[in-house]
Amino acid sequence: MKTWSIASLFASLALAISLVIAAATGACRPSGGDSAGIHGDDAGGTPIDVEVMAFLSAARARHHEANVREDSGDLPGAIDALQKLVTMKTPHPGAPIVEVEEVLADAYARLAELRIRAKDLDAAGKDVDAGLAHAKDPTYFRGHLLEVKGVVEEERAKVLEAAGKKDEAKEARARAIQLFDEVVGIQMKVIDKTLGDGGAK
Amino acid sequence: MDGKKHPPDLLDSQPHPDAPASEEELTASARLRDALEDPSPVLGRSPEADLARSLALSHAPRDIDPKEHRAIVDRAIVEGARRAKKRQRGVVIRVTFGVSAIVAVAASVLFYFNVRGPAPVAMELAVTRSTQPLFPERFPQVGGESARIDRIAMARSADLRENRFARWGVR
Repeated sequence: MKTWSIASLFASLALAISLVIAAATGACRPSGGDSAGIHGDDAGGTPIDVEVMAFLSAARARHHEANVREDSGDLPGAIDALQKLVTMKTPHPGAPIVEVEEVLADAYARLAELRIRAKDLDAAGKDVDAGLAHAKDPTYFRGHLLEVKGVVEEERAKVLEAAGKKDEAKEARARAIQLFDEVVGIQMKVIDKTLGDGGAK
Repeated sequence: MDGKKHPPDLLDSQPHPDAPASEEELTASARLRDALEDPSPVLGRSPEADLARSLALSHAPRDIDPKEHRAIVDRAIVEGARRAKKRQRGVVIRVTFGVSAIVAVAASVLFYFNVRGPAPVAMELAVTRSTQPLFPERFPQVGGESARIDRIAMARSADLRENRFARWGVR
């Protein structure tokens, strides 16, 4: 009698616990679809969220600030606006966001262009290198950065030529040509990739 | 006597109050005395003695034998403890069964509604991805960054809005 009671007790407790676990497992099931599907071409990306959008919005604002300053002839002010953009806090630290990387790469390209106009070629070259760190895959962004780097070398060659440093100017021109060739190669890869996707993208 | 005349046969059949006790009355008296003197509670030997003893004991009960008293107390203690233990175990079992039953019923209800609930639908969320598809044409050699960030921000803003609607279950 005593053994039967204890056995029944444990049986009912086990049943209750198993039901609770089953129910809890069911309750944890994503309802309404919390599982993010892929709506893009990069599997496993983070869903576009407020943080990402906030960064993009801020980046856009900095670009437009640079536009206004540029239009008013304030080149240093435009450079400063873009310098603030590239040093902004990025969303999802530790998990690079493709859009953020591409926007930073493009911002560095523009920053380099402005520095070229400001005749600060060394700083322009550094900005291009910093931008290339954000655009490692063959994309228009990387191609554009290399193109800007080619322009930097082209301008350097002009400066060197004007300074009578013909050999160094020649070397700079050679580097520029090499970079423009590289740009063409990247653009071709991008075009091939796009056509390979059937032009869907 | 009362001045009335009674029938002679009725007067003759009643014994005189002062008449000496008969042999039968003496025997009954001795039996009653013996029964009263005997302290052993043997009932039925003399109804009169039983009645008299009951009356006397109800007024002034005698002390019982200490050994018997001890035995009665011991038996009562053992029986009391046994009943208390049985009652406590019964309460524990009933409470446990009750709680288990309530939990099981609650879990069953939860489980039932989960099973009957709508099947999970894979939510299509716009994820972070290259913005390259936004620019089918190649970039100009110089400039265009401001226009590009405009296009990127607008496109991803639309994605964010779609994601919000998707999370709200609106499509």
